[in-house]
Amino acid sequence: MLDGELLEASDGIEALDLLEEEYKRVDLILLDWNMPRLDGMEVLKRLKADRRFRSIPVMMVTTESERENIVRAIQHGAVHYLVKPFTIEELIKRIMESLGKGGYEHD
Amino acid sequence: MTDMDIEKIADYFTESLRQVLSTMAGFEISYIACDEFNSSCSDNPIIMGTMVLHGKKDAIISLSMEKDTAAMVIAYMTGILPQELKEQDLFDGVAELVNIMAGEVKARLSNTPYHFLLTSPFSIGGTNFRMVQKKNLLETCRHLKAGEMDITFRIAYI
Repeated sequence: MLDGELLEASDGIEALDLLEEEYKRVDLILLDWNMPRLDGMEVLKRLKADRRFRSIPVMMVTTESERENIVRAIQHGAVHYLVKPFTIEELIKRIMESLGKGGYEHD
Repeated sequence: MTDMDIEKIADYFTESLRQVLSTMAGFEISYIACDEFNSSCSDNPIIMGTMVLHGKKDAIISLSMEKDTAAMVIAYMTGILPQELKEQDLFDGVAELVNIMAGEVKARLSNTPYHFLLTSPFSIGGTNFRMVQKKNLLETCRHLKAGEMDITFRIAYI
């Protein structure tokens, strides 16, 4: 069972604005690549360049499945790269791994 | 680009949608070619997800379905009951389906002359609307069926 609060942002700029206010209670960032205004890769770079945010694990959740993009994201500090489509079970498993937790119980 | 190329590319998209719906929603779909490109009017509310693909030659893709079908698909994908889904969830969900399909096909076409970049998907909806475009565009479409559900995919190079 996965428990937590979800904060949503509809694009990269909104995500960074939200983090400015909420970063102290954020345990994990799920980041899409293809977003309006500021794409996920640019957001990832800015997160990792800011010492307030850089320790928050980032998991890319995206349709961008080309190998070079996966490599780029990992090189820039993403801890996981989940390509859509995926099952809910896969998503939860990766979230738990990204949070440094092992297995999970799915109800 | 030839008619054969666009048919193959349309098959890539529909195969991608088949995988998405199977993986995320547990639906098995079958698909058949269709002749009519311009979307027909319907008395039932329709949601159409769309994306422009930027390549050597730009294209536009769309995925349209009745609102009730969208509610069923998105409900299975998210695990949220259809009646609890807001209208915005349906529009977002159909746009996301287009996004996932396009991302999959982008990777498949990455080393071909038909490589493209994704743009932001968007949705439009309503009743009795028709999408009409110039004649003689290179275009094709597919009807997809899963039980009682009908989904139409279209692609046109513009």
